[in-house]
Amino acid sequence: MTPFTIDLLQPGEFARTPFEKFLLRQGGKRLAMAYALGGLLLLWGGSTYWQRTSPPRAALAAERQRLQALQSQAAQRQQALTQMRNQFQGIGELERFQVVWSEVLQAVSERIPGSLWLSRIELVQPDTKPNPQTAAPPPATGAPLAAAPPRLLRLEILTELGPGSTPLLDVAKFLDQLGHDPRFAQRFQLLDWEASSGTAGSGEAHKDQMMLTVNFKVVL
Amino acid sequence: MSVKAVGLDIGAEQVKAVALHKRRQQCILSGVGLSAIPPGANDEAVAQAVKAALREAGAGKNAAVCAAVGGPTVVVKGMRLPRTPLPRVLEAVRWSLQEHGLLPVSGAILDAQVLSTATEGQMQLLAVCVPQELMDRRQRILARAGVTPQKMDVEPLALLNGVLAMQEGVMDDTLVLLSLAPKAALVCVYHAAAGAPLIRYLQSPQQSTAAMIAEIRTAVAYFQAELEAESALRLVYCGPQNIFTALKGELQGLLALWNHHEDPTLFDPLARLEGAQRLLLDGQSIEGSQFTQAVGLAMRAL
Repeated sequence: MTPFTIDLLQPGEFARTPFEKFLLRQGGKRLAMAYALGGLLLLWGGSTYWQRTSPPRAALAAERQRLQALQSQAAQRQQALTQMRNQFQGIGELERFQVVWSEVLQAVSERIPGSLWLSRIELVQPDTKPNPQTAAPPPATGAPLAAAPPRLLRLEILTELGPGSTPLLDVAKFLDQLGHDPRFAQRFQLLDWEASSGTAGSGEAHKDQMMLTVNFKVVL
Repeated sequence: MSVKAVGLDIGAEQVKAVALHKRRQQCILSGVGLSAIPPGANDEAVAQAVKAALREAGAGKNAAVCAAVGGPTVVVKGMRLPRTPLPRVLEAVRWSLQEHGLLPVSGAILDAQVLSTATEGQMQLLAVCVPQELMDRRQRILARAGVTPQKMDVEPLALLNGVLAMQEGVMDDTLVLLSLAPKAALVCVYHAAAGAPLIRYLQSPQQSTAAMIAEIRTAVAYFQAELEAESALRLVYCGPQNIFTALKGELQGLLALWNHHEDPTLFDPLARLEGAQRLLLDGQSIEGSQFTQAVGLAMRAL
């Protein structure tokens, strides 16, 4: 604006670069202003960032909370589902056993000759010895199936020994017929059998008896 | 209204203050202050006058004040130097002034302005040399008045700045500016092509009007000879009207010699500034031309 720019308070000003002029003239004031401006800028930036990010941050926190609740709910449901599946599996097994059991009994009752009495039929573990006191346990409804299923079907057959009787032949026929009966043969395989003799009754009524223990391996 | 810039002209008899502010690249006058200095006043009295003038001009504490020093001991000189790196220019100026015997022995403050740098390797400078004691005294007065100036100019350049900044159109002729300030009358000759003005203080206690006219004639002739180009003269004056009236008779012969048929123009900056009418409505009789230097200083501070 004015052509002559002599300033005796800052002699040699013309030799200074614009940056030097900026630093030298009211440097402290400008520095303070720069600090204040920087502080304000920082404050503004921070508040703007907070304003812009706080709603999504709150939403995210809520979502996380909901997700955690859903996860725990899902875990509970999963647990319940597993439990139900186990129960259903147990029920299925049970029903299958019931079906098998009724078919086996039917097959055995149909095939057994009149000379033989079926004293006991039971499902046992391989190492367990036959217990003469316990009756064949029908599978109880709703019983837990956590234990391993019985691996042997054991038949205890009684027959009277008399002159001209053919108990062993009857037993052999009976076992053969069972072996050919599809209701039985598909599920059980003859493992072994054992015969033992004994006496039943007293006086003249006493009769010699033979007890035949036949073990079948459960195939199912 | 916030005052942006104040020009403070501390004269021999009066302190003048002009407050300006800027609006859309336009200077608006926002205050004028005038305070008399009693004859034989000490620094304290001058400081009081400064305070009064600033108060009257409505200068606030935050106003940027530009003051000036002046007088016959102040050297304002155009010079040509071989092309020099800018940080070493002041050293070269000091050496040159010393060579010409213009450097005060008691110490001086130097400043310069690079006006142009020619391709031939010469640079044209405007050099200013102010005796240290003059500067110290001015700063002492300002400190007493509680003023911290933003800039310190020299009076003749402030005067010329004021006139050049407010001139209308392109000036092709040589400006002969006559300042008739009491005890600090000076002639300033300037042409844009010359770059630096020629400044001569006129009035000394022994100097008669005829001697002043002769000094003006010599200054103008010297400047024209240095300019090496023909150009018409334009005489502008400012300062108290009564001093000009005393000079006018003697000046006619000089004007005739220069083939200058028009009367010298009185430069009144207040009449050209916006806002002056509003400020001067309350019946104040202020000679606006006396404020040329203060206006030039205020413009420096803007």
